[in-house]
Amino acid sequence: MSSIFVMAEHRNQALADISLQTLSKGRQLADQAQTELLAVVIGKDTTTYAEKVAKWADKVIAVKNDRLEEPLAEPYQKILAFLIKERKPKIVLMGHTSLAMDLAPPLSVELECPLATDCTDISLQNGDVIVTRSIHNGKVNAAYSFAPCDTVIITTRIGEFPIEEGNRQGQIEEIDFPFEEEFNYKKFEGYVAQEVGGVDITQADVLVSVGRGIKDKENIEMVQKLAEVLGGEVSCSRPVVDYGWLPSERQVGLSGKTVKPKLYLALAISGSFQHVAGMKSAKMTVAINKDAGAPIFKVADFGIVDDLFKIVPILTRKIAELKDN
Amino acid sequence: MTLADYKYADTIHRCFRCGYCKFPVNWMDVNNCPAYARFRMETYSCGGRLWLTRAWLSGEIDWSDHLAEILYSCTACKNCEVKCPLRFNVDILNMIIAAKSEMVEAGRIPSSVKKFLENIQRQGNPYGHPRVKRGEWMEGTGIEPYQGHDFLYYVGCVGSYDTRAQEVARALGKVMQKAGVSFGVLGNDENCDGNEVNKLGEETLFEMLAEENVAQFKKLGIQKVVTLSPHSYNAMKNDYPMFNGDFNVMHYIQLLDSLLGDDRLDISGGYNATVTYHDPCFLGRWNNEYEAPRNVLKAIPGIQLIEMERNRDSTLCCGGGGGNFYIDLLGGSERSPARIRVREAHATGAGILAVACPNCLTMFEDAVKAEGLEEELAVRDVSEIVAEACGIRVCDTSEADAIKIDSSQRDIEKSGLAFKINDWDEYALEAALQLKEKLGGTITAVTVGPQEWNDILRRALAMGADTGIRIDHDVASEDPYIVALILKTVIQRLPHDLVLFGAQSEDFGSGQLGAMVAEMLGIPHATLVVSLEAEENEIHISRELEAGTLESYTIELPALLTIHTGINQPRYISLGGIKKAMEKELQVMSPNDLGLSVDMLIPMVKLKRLELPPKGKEAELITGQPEATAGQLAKTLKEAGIF
Repeated sequence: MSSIFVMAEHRNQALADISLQTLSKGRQLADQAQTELLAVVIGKDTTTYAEKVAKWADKVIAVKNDRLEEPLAEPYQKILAFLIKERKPKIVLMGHTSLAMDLAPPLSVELECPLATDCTDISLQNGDVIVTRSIHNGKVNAAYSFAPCDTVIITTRIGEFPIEEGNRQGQIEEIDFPFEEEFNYKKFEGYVAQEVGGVDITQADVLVSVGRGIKDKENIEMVQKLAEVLGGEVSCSRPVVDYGWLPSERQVGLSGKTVKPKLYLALAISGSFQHVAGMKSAKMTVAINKDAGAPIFKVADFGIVDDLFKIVPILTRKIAELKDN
Repeated sequence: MTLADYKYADTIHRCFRCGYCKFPVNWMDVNNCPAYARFRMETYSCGGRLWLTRAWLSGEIDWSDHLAEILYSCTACKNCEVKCPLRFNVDILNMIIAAKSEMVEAGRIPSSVKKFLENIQRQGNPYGHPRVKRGEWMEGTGIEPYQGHDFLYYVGCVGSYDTRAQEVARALGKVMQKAGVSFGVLGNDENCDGNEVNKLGEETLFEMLAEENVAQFKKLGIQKVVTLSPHSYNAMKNDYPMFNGDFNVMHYIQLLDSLLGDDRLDISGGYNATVTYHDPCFLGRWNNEYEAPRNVLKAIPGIQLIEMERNRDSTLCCGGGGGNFYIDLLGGSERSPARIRVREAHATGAGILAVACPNCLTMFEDAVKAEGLEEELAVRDVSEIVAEACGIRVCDTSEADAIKIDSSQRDIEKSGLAFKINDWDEYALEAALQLKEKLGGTITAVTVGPQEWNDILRRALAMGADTGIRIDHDVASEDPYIVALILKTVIQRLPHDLVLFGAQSEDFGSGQLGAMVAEMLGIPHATLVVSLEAEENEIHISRELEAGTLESYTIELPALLTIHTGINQPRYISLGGIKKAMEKELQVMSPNDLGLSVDMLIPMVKLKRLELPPKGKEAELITGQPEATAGQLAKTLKEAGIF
């Protein structure tokens, strides 16, 4: 089998965790197929990233250009398309990130190669690449294979592949990539600062977190009371922010905050992987959900299958009583 | 909508806010309007709502979420109508409902009301549970499907799906069985009665439900109906005649009263308790039935019946009417009407709060817990009390999981699942509508799928798209590349400035389509867009990165964006809107019409099989009644040193 590519992503002067996860998986596949793992890093100054990813890679391709300060999909696509055409890897891996959402689909169209996104497993079976995707909100796993082709592009689900420290010392090949194109049709205007409020949920020891099942803004008050007796803060999943019931500073998950409280009490939160990615380091997780099949019960230490509106008032009172004793 | 077009334009100004609409009978207290009792602000009383409605319709104030919540916090309990001393009092509640209708037509209603109505459109019940599970409450009861029986036993949505109310539905079934009443049920074929839909102002959906129910009842030869819920009773008795539904409708309490009169119920088992009875609005104020429940309770040996101060036509609504048992705009406070009422019941010294409505039952049970009165006051439906007096024990059934894989292992079983517009696509469509409202232009909605998906396109048209195109091709679980190719071929033929996609689909979640189509069309794109402003030749957008940060871009038109949730608040699609959209023509094409031959549509990514995820680690479940589970959890948390 020809080589395996892993694109390593960085933002704000740091390699993304997902890139190390993807490199670890890529290393494992390359060892199994007895082929080379090539890590690709792209940026204005790639030295530090290249040295780091070399631990997993047989070779690092470090693409440098002054205009590559921010990771932008269009120039990245040009570079990757060039490298893939030139070196014909069997598998191209990258994390399923916001950048990859912009980048991977057009790249697959340009190269006319198949694409599988947000994969939770990748395996080699008799030389064929098989991927697993989690569909129908985590309730079903689907296995896919690919039609015969030179290259397949696969994006990996965040948090799905453990980081295994690398012990290689891959050789670094630096390439200065000249652009003819200006990309004027899509101008990067900068990062937008997040709205800042009074609460920092990442510092809370106890988080009482609510999902869509809270039904209305009015009902937040009930949850607030529970958080108060526990000496914690109220946090939430994405839909609660989408509906405008709580501000985004209280959102836990991939697109929100990553939290590590002593207790994470998930109320009517189904437990999508995007949400779980933000709270799985909690020391203790308790889930209350009407749906016994909700994925959150796979993450939680304790669970109650019931309506939060029935449990929360009683729980609040019981805790207050125990505190008084 | 202007004031002149409003049905009550000639009378709404006549309310001068005397304030009587808030009173109970003794006119010493103003807490009988449930929303006023909860919020203690004039805007939440009937008079306040009428003034706000007039101000809104005459353009003095704009629509807002807050205004919508004020109108929808009305539970349609009819206290205002009973207490208003003026001649136009017969219409004051209708004026509020008509104002809700205007909001429904404009699609601007509170998100919980939107969910409630959408669930009924899709699954025939407000919870959005599958239709095929509607009859599960009756498993093991021996209750028969209706087939020429004397009575249709109509259970309603709450009795069919709410686990606590299901116990009541079973209790009543057993009581009727024991009394030898000839009755049958519709099971999974039962549909929502529409009473709440009507009071929420979704007239067209109500008409459809009423027409369908009347047609179904007639086809089965049904003449007599007994309902579990006063809400069903009200709709069928008072509204269905307008749809040629002249059935003999009874609420179950009336049937029990007459069975006792005919000596057909052996209640010698008795029920030893002090009981206070709460009059449900849709039995009492709406239908003047105050005595039958009291007759039944008084007849049972061992019951001492005591009245709360506010009773009969001065009952305080539980706060669950007008859909509020689900949308719950009055909850979350000590002043929530259900909690006020539960405290009143407790103050009488009664050990049992008896109700004759599944909505009141669920509202009060929650309120008893919130008040911490579980040890002193229990909420029981009269049918349960009668069942116990008859010596009947009632069993429970539990819920099963929703998703199953079919025998081919290549698809999931679709029966019981209803199709809807993908969440992300709905946000994209709303974004398009808002751009059109601001800048003009036309919107074309395009989908690739089998014929059933016409419904989805109709919803898009009802929401405000100008034309709809469906490419007839079955795409279930196929390579997104194929769908992208088809879409690109269609879009290429249409003039466009902006192409919007949902960022991903709810079922497969690949998130590939939009960006693929952009590459195929050769236009710039951005995915995961969370804000969007358009100018003549360019757009300013921000898109979501990880960990709560955003990045912004200026992009030349034409361009393609994939829209993320939360960018806006998608409007409600009323059934009236969908009906109008039925008149708009849908264009249907095949891939062949687009010059795409079968061999161009061979997927490169192929589904091998589906599997349920491995069991893996599971939470340790705490089981039992809420009092016990919550207590156990509190102990566990204390032992873990959390507090």
